Amino acid sequence: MDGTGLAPVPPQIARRLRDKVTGFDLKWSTIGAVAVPFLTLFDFKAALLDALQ
Amino acid sequence: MRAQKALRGMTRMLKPVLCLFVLTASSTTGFQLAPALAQLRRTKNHAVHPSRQMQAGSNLARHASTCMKDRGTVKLQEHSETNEAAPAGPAATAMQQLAVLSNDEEPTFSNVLGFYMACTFLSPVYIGSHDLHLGIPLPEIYPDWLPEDKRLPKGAQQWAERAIDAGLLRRAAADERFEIKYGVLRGVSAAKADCEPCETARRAALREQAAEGLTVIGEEERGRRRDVGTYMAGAGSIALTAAIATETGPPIRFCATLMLFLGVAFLESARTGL
Repeated sequence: MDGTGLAPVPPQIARRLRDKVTGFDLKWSTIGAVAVPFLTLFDFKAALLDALQ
Repeated sequence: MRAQKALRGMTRMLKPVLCLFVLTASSTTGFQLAPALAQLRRTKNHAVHPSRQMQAGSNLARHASTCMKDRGTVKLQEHSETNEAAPAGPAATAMQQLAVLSNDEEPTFSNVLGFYMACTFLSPVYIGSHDLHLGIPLPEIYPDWLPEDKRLPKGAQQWAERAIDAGLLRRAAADERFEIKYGVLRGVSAAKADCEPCETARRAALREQAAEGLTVIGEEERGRRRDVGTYMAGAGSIALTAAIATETGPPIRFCATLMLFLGVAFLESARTGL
C-alpha cells in the first residue's frame, strides 16, 4: 500500500510506463535541442531568396 | 523596369506567406512524425529491456507527482488520474522519505534537479491562490549525497515562516491534497485524503484505466495542457513568423521559438497523456 489504499501496480506495467515516459522525455528533449537553435539561427531570408531566384 | 518592380513587390509580399508555409509545414511534419515515433516505441515496448530505467532524477520527480513511497515498485499515477499529486498534510513526511529513499544516489545535475522538483511538488508551502499556486521547495532534511553548496541556506525555513506570517506565502492544511495543473503548477484538490470505500473504488478504476492506457495525467490535466498548448503554439507561430519576416535578431526569435516549442510539447503531452 502506498497511502492511497490501493495495492501497488504490477512491476511489468510500471516498467512499461517508465519506458514510455523516458521515451517521451528523450524525444522532446531531442526535438527541442535541434529545432530551437535551428529556428533561432537559420537565415530564412537568404534561403528564400535563393529559392526564388 | 516595371516588370522588375512588380516582381520585387510580389516577392516582398510572398515572403511572409512562404515563412508561414515553412513553419506550418515544419509543425505538421512534427505532428505526423510523432505518431510514427510513438508506434515505433510501442513496438519496442513489446520487449522492454529491464536496463532501460528512468534517470534517477526523473524518478524522484515521479516520486513527487505520484506520492510514491516504495522505490522498488513504481506506482502508476493514480493521484494524477484523480489529479491529486500528493497529500498536503503528510507532505513534509513524504519529503523526508524522499530524502531517505534517494540516499544511494549520486550528486549529478539530474539527481539534484529531480530532488528539488520533487520537493517543489510535495511542499506544503506555496505561493499563489488556493486553486492555482506554485510550491516552494523547503526540504527539512537532505539526502546524504547532496553537497552542502547545493542545499538551501539554513535560514530558508525561518524566512518562509516569516513570509507565511506576513501573508506572502501560504501553508496547506493538514488534510488538503494537491493536484498538478499546467504541468508545473498545483492546486488544492477537492478530494479528501481519507479513502472511503466509494473513493477507493473510484481510484482503483482510475488506476486500472491509467495502467491500460499507460498514462500519467488525468483528463482534466490533459484538457488544461491542450488549451495552453494551443494558445502557446498559435502565438509562437505568429510571433516567429513575424520575427522572421521582419528580420529581428536571434533573441526575439529564440523567445518565439521557445514559445512555439513549448506549445507543441504541451499539445503532445495532452495527446499522449504523459
